[in-house]
Amino acid sequence: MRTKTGRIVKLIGFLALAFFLWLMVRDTLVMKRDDGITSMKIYYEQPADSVDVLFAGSSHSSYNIAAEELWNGYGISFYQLWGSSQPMWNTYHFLIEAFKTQQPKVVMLDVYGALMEDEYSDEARQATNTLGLKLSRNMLENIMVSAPKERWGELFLGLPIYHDRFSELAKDDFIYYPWSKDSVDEKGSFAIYGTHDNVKFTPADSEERLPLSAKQETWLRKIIALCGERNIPLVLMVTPTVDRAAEQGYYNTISDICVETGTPFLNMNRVSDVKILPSDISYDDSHLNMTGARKTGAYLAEYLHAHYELPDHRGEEQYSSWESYAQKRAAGYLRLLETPREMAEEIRLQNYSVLLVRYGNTTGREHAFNDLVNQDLPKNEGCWLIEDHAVSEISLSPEGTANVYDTDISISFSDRSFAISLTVDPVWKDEGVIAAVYDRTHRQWIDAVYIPADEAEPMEHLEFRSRPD
Amino acid sequence: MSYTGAPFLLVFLPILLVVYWLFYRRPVVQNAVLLAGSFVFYASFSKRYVLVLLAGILISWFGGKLVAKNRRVLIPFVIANLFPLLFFKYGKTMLGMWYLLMPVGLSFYSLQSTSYLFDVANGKTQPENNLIDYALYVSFFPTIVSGPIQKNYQFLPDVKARKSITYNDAVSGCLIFLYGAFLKMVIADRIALFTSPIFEYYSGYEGAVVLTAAILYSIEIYCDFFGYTCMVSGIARLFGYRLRDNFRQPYFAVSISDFWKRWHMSLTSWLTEYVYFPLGGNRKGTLRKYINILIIFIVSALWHGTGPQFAVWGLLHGFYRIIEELTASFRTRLWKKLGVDTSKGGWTLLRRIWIFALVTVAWVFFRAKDVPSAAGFLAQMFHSFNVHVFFDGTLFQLTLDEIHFRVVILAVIVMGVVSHFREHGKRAEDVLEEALPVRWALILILLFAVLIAGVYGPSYNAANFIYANF
Repeated sequence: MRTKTGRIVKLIGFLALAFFLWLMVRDTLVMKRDDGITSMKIYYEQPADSVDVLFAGSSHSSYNIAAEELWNGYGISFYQLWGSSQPMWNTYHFLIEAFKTQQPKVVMLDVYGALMEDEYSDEARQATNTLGLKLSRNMLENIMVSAPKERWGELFLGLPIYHDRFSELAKDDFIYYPWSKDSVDEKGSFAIYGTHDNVKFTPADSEERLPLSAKQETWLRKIIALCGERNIPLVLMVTPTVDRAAEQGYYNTISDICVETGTPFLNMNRVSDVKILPSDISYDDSHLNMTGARKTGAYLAEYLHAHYELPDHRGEEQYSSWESYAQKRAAGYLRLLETPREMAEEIRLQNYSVLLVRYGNTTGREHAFNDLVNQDLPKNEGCWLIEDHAVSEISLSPEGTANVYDTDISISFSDRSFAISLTVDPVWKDEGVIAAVYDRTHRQWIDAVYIPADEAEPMEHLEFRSRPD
Repeated sequence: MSYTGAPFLLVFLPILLVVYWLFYRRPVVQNAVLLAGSFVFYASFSKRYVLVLLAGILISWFGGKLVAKNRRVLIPFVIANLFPLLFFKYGKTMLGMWYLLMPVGLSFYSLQSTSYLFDVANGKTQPENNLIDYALYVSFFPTIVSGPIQKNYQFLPDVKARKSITYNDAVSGCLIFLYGAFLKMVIADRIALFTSPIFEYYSGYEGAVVLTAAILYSIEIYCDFFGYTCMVSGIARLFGYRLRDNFRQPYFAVSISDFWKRWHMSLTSWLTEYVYFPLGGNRKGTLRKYINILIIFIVSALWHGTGPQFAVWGLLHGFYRIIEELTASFRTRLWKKLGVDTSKGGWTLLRRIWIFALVTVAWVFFRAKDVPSAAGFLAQMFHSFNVHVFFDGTLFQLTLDEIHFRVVILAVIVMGVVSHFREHGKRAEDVLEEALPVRWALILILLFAVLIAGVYGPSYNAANFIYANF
């Protein structure tokens, strides 16, 4: 009897260990794709009951909204939980998962995914919209509605799809485990930059009604019912796109559903307050670059602040990760910019300081920084600090060192090249200008660029040890 | 259903095991359950060919009863029993019926039922009265796809015996299955990604690459077939059956005759018992013995396939065997004269390498689509033999990159170590004697090696076993 009991205990122990290892292997090998899997994985790391506004839906609910504007403007906490071209049935199950740990005060549902007419997404999106979920009944139900029967097994097990990634594992593959909190500073969104050529917006003035697929409509209504059951206010929304005429018929149908169910519907293609320009459109017709995303983010911040009671969490310890996120997004945005003019505009908007080091011939491109100060910048070689619309020269010691914002810097000039160091590793460059950007609010050097003397050469972002990753 | 697929492993097998062991006190019901499961398994390949299987079972079962009474009806029943095999196997080439698809496992279960008829006729076994037991002997699902070929006088008593399963049986069964999956999915299927295109378009590859493909194919076919055998042995053990060994480290063989005592032992044994001995074996003089050897290799070749390349493969092995016998005394004298100590390990290793080389050359014919392709493949080995491909990364720019080659090398080393232990009498059960942490670690490493490094999933179509095509 003792032997039998001992064996049962050992067997249970062995199976538990094997199960645990299986979960670890799954989390390690699963594709770390931003378009569905990672946003769910990071969601699990968020502090319980901390998300006040939950954005859900397709990539439009992420790329097209710089949600940090909610935080910057009103201290509203948020999360962007999305998947690429996510159909409504996946969004429904994402929301079920989301409500397990959070009780958002508003759900902002992007309905672009409802336009897809097929019974299932393509195989890649079936995977990205299911593999991020934890093992649960909800995960099983999500799989069963997302893919034909013959794929259920591989989507449930996961490993058949991605086990051969063992040959391409990288650092990022070892960060999403049940106990991990390393990514809590992320909020589900990813910035893109670039400008689409020859953008022509088509009008969103059609009043025709195009039907949604029966499956999409069913799950859209289930989402509305789900939020109703849980007393979570839901807003259906459309973020700005280019080919509005082609989509408007579907949005009119969705608008009718909203009227029928008493759900607010925000179609930003028809909101004149969101002034999206061709330069705000990124490399494809469906997504906004960061400039455009900030406009929608700012608009939504105003909208949410005006229509819902959402607390200002700035300064609260539990919400520090939103502050970090906002900083990172700002710094990250700077590093996406490609010209001194764009840099100067962002620096002016955010009221950053700039350390400017000029050596040898310059092209004049750096004159964009003139807009930051009330007078023209000196045109000779040297080192200046631009702060609050004023410029002051930095006096270097005989060794070429100075202290700026409690940071030791050293600068040396030699034959047609110069070096600057903000911490320990100097960056050597040929003639030109180096501009280092300092965020006084958060007391951090956040970016630095080199503007070469050769006008044909592009502006280059530099790596500094003191800059946060 | 594939033995490595989720429907088999996660649905069919667990359900059948539970139902089967629910009736552990009633062997008759257990056999009925197992037979039903075997037919469900077989129907998963093709529902139509269940009828062919059923016909084969009924013909040989009734045949056995009649043959026991009247030996003269043996030949008609043997012909009737082998007719589906001949029709499906040779109808394609000889009658030009290219659309014919061979029923799964037909080559294997036809041999089992035919040997039953012979054994009944020769009084070696009694005709089986219980149709369910007999049907289970023919259609036992773990072995129906590719054997091992069971002998009725060994298997039927197992069918009738009351089954029991111990904790160690269950664990060792799982371990054997896992090791088979490791050989099949980590080694064989990975190597196949490399060898398949090279066998297909050998003229486009450097000689060194072609040679590598030939060597790797020898490993591939062994890991594929032995891997399959381990998997079905493990499954059979979970149902209380112990299958006889089908492989015994064949690449440790020091002669061709030794190789055939280690490779596909159930087929070799079948051919020896039902072809070689009835032909007179070695009892009718040396010349007749050599002719008999050639005959069994030709029969073996024809059993494997109808193409001339299989005949060349069989004849090569036949000639290897004959030359080996003819030169045996000469070689013994020569080594003695040269002062070679043939008892040393180094000499054994050299002999193993030599036999591996001979077998590898023969496998080229076995794998190639026809004889000219096999000859061209072998000639290509000596064409532009640039050894640099092993050092400048060329080898890794084909279908397997460096990390996958490393996996193959590591896995083959593991297989070599296991083979070494097996050669010295160790078995899966011996692992269970190890301390618990060692035991668990071994099983978990094997399990996760298969799950992570195995070749499977939607990107691959590697579920087929090479011998399932025969």
